[in-house]
Amino acid sequence: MTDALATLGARVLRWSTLGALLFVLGCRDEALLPPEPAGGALFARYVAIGNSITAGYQSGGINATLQQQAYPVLLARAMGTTFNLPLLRDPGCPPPLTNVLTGQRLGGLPADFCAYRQTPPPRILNNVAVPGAKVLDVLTNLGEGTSANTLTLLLLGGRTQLEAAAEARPTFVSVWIGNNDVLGAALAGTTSLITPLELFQQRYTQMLSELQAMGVQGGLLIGVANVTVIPHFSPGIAYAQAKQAGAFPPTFQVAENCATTGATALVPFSYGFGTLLAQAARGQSVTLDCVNDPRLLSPEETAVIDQTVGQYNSFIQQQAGRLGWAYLDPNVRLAALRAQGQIPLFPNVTSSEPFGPYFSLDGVHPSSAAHRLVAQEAAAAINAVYGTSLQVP
Amino acid sequence: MRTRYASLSFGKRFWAVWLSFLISAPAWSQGFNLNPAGTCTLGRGGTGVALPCPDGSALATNPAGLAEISQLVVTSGATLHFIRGGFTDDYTGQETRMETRTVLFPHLFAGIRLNPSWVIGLGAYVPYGLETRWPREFEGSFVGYRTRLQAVYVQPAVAYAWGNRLQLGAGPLLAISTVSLWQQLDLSQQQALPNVPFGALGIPAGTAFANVKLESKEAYGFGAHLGLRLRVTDQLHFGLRYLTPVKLSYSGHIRFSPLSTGLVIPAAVTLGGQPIPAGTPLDVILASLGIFAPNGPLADREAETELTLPAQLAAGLSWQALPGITLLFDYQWTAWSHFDRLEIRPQSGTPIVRIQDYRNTSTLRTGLVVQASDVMEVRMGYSYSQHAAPSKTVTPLLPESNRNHATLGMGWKLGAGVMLDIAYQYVRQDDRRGRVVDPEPGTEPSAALNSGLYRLSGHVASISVSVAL
Repeated sequence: MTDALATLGARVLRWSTLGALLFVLGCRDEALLPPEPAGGALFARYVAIGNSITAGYQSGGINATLQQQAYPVLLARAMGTTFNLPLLRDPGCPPPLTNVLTGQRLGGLPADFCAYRQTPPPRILNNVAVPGAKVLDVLTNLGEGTSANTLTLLLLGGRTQLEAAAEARPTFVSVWIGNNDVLGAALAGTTSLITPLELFQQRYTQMLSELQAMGVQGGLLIGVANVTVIPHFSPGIAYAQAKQAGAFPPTFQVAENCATTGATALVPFSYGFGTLLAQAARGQSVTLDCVNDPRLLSPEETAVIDQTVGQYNSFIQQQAGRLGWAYLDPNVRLAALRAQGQIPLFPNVTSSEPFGPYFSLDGVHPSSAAHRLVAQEAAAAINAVYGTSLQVP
Repeated sequence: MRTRYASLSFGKRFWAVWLSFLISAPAWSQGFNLNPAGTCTLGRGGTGVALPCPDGSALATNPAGLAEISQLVVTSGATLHFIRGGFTDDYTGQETRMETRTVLFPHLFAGIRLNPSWVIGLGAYVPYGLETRWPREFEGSFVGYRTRLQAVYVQPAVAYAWGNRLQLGAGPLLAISTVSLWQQLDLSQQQALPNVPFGALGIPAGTAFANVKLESKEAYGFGAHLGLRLRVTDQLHFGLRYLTPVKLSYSGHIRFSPLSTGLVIPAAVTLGGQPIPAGTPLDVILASLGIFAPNGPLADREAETELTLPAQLAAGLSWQALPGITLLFDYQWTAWSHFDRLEIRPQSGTPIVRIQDYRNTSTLRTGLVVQASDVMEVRMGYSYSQHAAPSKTVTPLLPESNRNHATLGMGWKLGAGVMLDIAYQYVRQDDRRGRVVDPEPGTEPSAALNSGLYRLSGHVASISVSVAL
């Protein structure tokens, strides 16, 4: 009897041990976790860093409709990955322009109107770009040289782009930053506002280091756009021709030098139309001087900006190569569009697209059609490096 | 005070110490419902309705079983719980682990035979308990980062043996309970301007700015525990027990304290007509609003809530398959469906309502007892508990799911009438999807809010010494 008991006990112990082992080692239910994104693990969490272009700013304003037409949104869609935006309420903050000459905005609202953010805010943001941001602003919001503004608060709270990006634990990033490191200089007509190359490189490197520390697996770096090619800038000769064609009121004079020695000086639309033409329309006599007016970009200043953009982009391309990331030079397509006449030398103010089909009503920011082009070229650049097959229709 | 304590008799001191320990000991469980109390019972997978352990734990498993006591039994023991768990966020893939700590809660049973038919007993045990702790940085901390419910049952009982076939047992019970909930408040959801929450100004979701501690005083409730045992044959026993629901009315206080957001206003802005310079810490702005002032919206206040600890109905069979080998089967039904909402009513302000919509649950337990020798008994068991929480209410407060328990236990006779029991249990809860946010005020929770996976497992160890005459 004792032997029978012992045998039975041993059997019970053996089976129960086996059962307990299976119980302990049993599979966890991984099926309850969400499936990998359609584009693969590389694109599981995509974050876009940048400035107004990446944020979706167009026509001097930004709202939810424009945010959703920005190139990173199109790219994320191609990746099949979730992409949360800090969506603004309509009509925007500020509402975009509807008439470039009168300055009328969506909803008839003033330029300082802000409709705030949509609520509830998403827990994780994927587009952390902020209009006006330079490379420095990706790293910090405060201190000398930063360009924090109302949208910095509205889109990111008190966080920097890197802080907001870290919360998403990105696997893939796109970075299009640096345009504002030269744009301010171009708009103000002085090269003294250009971010020195050494500082640019130092800040850009720090940004990339911090992104790498987040465990990013891949990325796309987009070069700085040559701001002197955008239709916001028109050569002096174009103003001389427009005057000759009777496009300006009698109170708006164009100096002779705009057709001769100042023919290639660049006149910002914000100055030529926004300041001078506005004064002329009020009956004040004004003259555009293409040689002596410091608000214009002289050919020498334009050359400095061109050279700086070239140096920035060499560095960015070199960094992309070092990291094994994709690189896209936007100036190739920009130059092609210019050569094709798609970027007008002088705004056609009677058209619904005064700056052509690829620029919005402020002549600085790409239109939705341009965002699609950028997304397509970005997808091609990513595919070339990572062997993916992203398609942006 | 010391003199007064010293003046208590040993017996009174013993009870005072044990009761205070029971009441202060945090009880852990994924659900409110804990294993039936007692080391011997734990070793057999929690079974014992038909054949309770002879250590007096019949008070908890089936009061009718007290009738099996020969003369006197006193059992004292404690159970140690060590639980690990975490939440894996769907999107970031990041796992946040629960703050693990070992918790201990004791049990005490005593019974004495008055005559051949009557036995009386007294027990103190914890049938329901819950404690979850998460780090404050956890995204679910706005639902709750520390939840604790303690419910100690102090239960006298009397058992009557009707011949050697039928036993009946019953007793009133006193439930002593406290509940606490700690959570953080999300600034993005608070109003900055009329109809403009801070979130609309860009304040990120999940910006903690206030800590909230809801803590109750001790609440008392009354109920009863009834049991029946039938000796069908010498080998086959049947048992039935019913534990009534216990309604508890808690009163306590809600305390608010400010937390630093760490955010700084990056650019000069105008808010509500007030210019705010760049570089102003957000905390300074919040402090100027006086929200924590005595008359402010987040002033400390008294609050009340109610909770009903559910009824349990359990039936069991025991079968002595071979001499020295007994198989046990229990089924328990727990009436969780009464727990449909938790409403905390502050002295002033809007009630905090958390929809629960629990459903009644079933628990199946099986046990095996092998009398290995004259002095040693080997026990093992397995039990499976259904979850009570529906998919929409799996939250950091109670990330509950179906649970599997595997146990192993032993009992040694150390000498005349002295028994040492030990038991170990491995607990594995099925992975379950859940949420870390509450629904918008005024809206029902939904499984669509679930954004990750809760995982829990644990180890339970118990030891008891019993003296029987």
